[in-house]
Amino acid sequence: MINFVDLHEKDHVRFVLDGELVAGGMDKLRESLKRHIENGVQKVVFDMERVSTLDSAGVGFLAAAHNSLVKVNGSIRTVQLSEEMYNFFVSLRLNTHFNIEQRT
Amino acid sequence: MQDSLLNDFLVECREHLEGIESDLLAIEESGKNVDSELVNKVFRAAHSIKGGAAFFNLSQIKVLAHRTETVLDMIRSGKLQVSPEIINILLNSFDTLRSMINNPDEMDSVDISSQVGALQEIVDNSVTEKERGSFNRSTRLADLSGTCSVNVPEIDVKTAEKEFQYIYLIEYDLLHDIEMAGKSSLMMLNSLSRMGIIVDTLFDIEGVGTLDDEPVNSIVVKLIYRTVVEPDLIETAVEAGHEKIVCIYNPHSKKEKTDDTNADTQKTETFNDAGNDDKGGEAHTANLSQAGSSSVEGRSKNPVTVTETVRINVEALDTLMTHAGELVLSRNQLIDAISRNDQKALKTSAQRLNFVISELQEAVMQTRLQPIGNVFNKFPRMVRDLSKTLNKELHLNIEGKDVELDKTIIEGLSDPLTHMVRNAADHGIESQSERTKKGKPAAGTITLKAFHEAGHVNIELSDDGKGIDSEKIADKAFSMGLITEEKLRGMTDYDKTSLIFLPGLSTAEKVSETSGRGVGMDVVKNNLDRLGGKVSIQSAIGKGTVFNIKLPLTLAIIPSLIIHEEQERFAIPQVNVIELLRIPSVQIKDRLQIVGDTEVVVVRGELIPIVRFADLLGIPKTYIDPNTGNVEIDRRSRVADRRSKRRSIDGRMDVVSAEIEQRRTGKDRRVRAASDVNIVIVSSGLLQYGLVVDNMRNTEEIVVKPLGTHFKKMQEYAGATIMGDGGVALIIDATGLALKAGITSVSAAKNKGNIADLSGSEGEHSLLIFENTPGECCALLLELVLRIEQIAANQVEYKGGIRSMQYRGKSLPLVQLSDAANAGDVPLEKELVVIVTRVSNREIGLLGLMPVSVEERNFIVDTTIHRQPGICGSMIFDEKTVMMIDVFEIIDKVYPEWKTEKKRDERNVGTTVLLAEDSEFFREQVTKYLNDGGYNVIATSDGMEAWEKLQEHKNEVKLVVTDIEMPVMTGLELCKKIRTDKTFSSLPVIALTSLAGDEDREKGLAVGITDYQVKFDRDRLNEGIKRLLS
Repeated sequence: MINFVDLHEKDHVRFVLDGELVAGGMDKLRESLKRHIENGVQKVVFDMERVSTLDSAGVGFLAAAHNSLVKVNGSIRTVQLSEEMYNFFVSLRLNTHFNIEQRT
Repeated sequence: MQDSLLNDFLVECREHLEGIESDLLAIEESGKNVDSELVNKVFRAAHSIKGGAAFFNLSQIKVLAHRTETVLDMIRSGKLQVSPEIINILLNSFDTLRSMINNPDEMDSVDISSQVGALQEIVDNSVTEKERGSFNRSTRLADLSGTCSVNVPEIDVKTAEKEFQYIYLIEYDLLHDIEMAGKSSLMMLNSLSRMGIIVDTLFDIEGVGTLDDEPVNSIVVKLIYRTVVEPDLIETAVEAGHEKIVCIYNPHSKKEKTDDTNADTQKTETFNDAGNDDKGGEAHTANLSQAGSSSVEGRSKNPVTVTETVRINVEALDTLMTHAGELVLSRNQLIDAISRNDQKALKTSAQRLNFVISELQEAVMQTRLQPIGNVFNKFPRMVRDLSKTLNKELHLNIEGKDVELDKTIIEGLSDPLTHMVRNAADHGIESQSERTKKGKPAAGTITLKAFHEAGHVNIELSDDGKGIDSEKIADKAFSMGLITEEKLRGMTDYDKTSLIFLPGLSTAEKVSETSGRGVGMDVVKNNLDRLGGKVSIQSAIGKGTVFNIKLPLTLAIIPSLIIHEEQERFAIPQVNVIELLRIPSVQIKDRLQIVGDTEVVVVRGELIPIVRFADLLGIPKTYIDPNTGNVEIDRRSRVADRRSKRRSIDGRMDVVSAEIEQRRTGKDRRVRAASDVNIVIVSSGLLQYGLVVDNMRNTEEIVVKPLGTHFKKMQEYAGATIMGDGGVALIIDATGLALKAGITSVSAAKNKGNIADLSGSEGEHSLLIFENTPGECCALLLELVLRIEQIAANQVEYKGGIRSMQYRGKSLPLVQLSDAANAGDVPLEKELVVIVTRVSNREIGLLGLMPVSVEERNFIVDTTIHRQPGICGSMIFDEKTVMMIDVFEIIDKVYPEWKTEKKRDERNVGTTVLLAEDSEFFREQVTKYLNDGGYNVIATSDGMEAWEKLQEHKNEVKLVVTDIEMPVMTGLELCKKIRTDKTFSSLPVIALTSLAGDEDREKGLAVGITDYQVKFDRDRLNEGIKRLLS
């Protein structure tokens, strides 16, 4: 189950995620993001600092989010990634599609 | 299971690493003409290690093996020239690999950065500009069917080609293939990263759809993966089915050499391209943070120990099986025979069983045998490294690498031999400049030889270095308090040299990295003793040293002689048994003698010390009274008879009274067989002695059982065994028993002949052999001969009753043996020779006949049988009686006026000269010469006796004349003692010797010898004495 807080920042919406980005717990997140895109948001940042787990469904969600925002000329960024997750994203070459940042 | 697989892999790695050192050294030696087959061999070893390490995720080993493989490939393809530096780096790398493989639990902590860096530098220095430009280009690779192709960066392809890596295309459905199998995608990808490089990932992100679409239930990624893992292992390594893996690059498919086992052609693989359209179902949750280990994590958390293994060929196993089968048959026959109580069948079965068990034992023993080359093979590298460290040129010869020994003994030999080789290189072989000065080749040679002899294995380690100075060893041992002066006195050179085995003894001037801490040779000896081995040393100063190690073939089962002593049984290892003697009671008085206070047995002219076995072990001796049949205590303290002959310590027979002689020849009281004496002649190294025992039984093969720790200090026992009847027999340690008996080297002196060829001059003299009349052989000391001239009969003149000849413008007096002795006249019609010598400062010629020859011999002169004026004794050469000529006596007889001219110098009367000479013959001769010169002579037979006499007659003795080589105390030792004693330090000392080489003189001068004189030159000796005393 993933908890989140969506924050309006300067030119983007920041989703601060907390919990497991896994199958079966992302419905609310998905709906919230869809609403933001419908309201004209083009840039979305996913703050992954407190994401403890991510599975293929989580990868699928991020990919879908990316595809949705690309359709509206937008983009996503995933920030505060742990080293493991960062490497995982690189292995999947997700970094060639959207911006990923490792936490410092 | 995993542990077992890993263990097998580590064992295999060790096998790969065996022999790599010698191969690399051979590659280095071949230089430009590199043997590609040899390089291939080493390359394949590195390659196999690398591949297995990758599979088991042993990253350190994998990386290092990989780098060495790269360099080896460059060598074999000619891209890199072999140099000592490159070989050093490779040797170092393989050493590190070996270390990691032998200590798998610590391999992660091993720092391989320097080796990797060094190897990488070699590779980098050979990368061309062309290769560097390939970074930005890509190559299209496809599977064999061509249905699947991808672009792969050219640099990756080139790297794969260079480093023998494969490139695969692997498809994963992250959900179905990984997460639903209970694994973590992240962990899987991390694991792949450790085994290889994910060159690229093909992920159809658009295929996932948008937020408006139903979430997909499969995330398919395709990895372009570069790895060393081979096609037959890739499925297991990456945990994907074969349909999901395609090999799109095989480095071996381009190579001509196909002897590499992994040089398979590319597999035809297809993979399922169809994405999974089923978007229903629930994705299986996999916790990213799970610590679940991938199954390619070959290393378990438990410590891994590499178990000992031995390679056995299948034939040997077949033989074992056959014998096992025979054993079963024999057992069945035995059981059947017992059940029928058939004595004949029992006997037959027992014989058969005996035979089969012997065969089986032999076969089992064979499985443990390994070639000694396994130990020898490490020495070429070691000597090479020592050569550099010590800055000496060293050659190592190895012979007998195929000689086989028990595995345990092989393993135990490594340390002692290593130390001995180091010592030979460090202390034995001189520096190049020293060797050149001595006229030796600049390169020192160390030889390691193994050979079979008499049921055991001999290992000889020899060098042609400076030899061991036994005096220096003895002095050092004495100064360190390791031995007393008293014990030193009784020691021969061999004993003194053997002192190097004392703990703490090192005569090295300084401790070097190589050797010199003084903890080596005693440990060497102990290690060898534990292996049942004996070590002996032969050495000659200036020439070299030979260590001989004698080892049993196996420690576990040894053939032994079973002996009985009172009610007890003992086993003496056959390797120590020289011969068995039974001295009939009537021969005791002749065969058993007493030398000093030691009983000896005469065996073919040699005197061998004997000890009563029961006395050594503290077993009370008994005997059965023949009259009463009762068991009585044997109160005799000696084995030898009271009538037995006695000798003094110098070997001379004591003169006995007529009464004793009468008793010796009279009727024997001891006539019964029970009075016979049984002696086992036993050897331990060069030491031989006789054990007097009650009874000797048969030889049996016994199983050696170690004694308990509480028996550890009992040096006389080597172990114990259980006999066929269940009883226990103790196994004798021949060396320990000798130590207990206090036997040193009474017999060692006889072995001086064994090292005579090394020392070259011990006890030898050069004799001129000629004939007086046909068949009448004569000998003259060569030192007395000035010239030999062949003459015609008509050159012999008789003028005024004097025989002479014209010689070099002067008249040369001629004499012959018959002028003084009862011998034939030289027949003038035969081929004549004149032996020119000098007596009383005049040249004279001794007539004789051809042929003339020179013999270098140890000889013993009988001064009794043929003794007469002109003949000082006789000896037997090649079954001929040869008479020793005393030319001085002949001259004295023919020209008595020459002697009276040199009257006893009145000034010499009352002057006492101390003479030390062990040979009775020479002692008598020299005493006579000195008496002729007018001197009083105190004659002694060895240096110790001379020292004692000197102290007794300190106010009388004015000069010492001494032989060099003597038992108990040599002439040099005597001189040293004289020089270090304030009372005698200025006493002149003349050394009498037939050794007159520069080296010997130097040795003599070093200890304070005043002058050297040849033994048999009366006039020069007396002149020399006169000169010194004036």
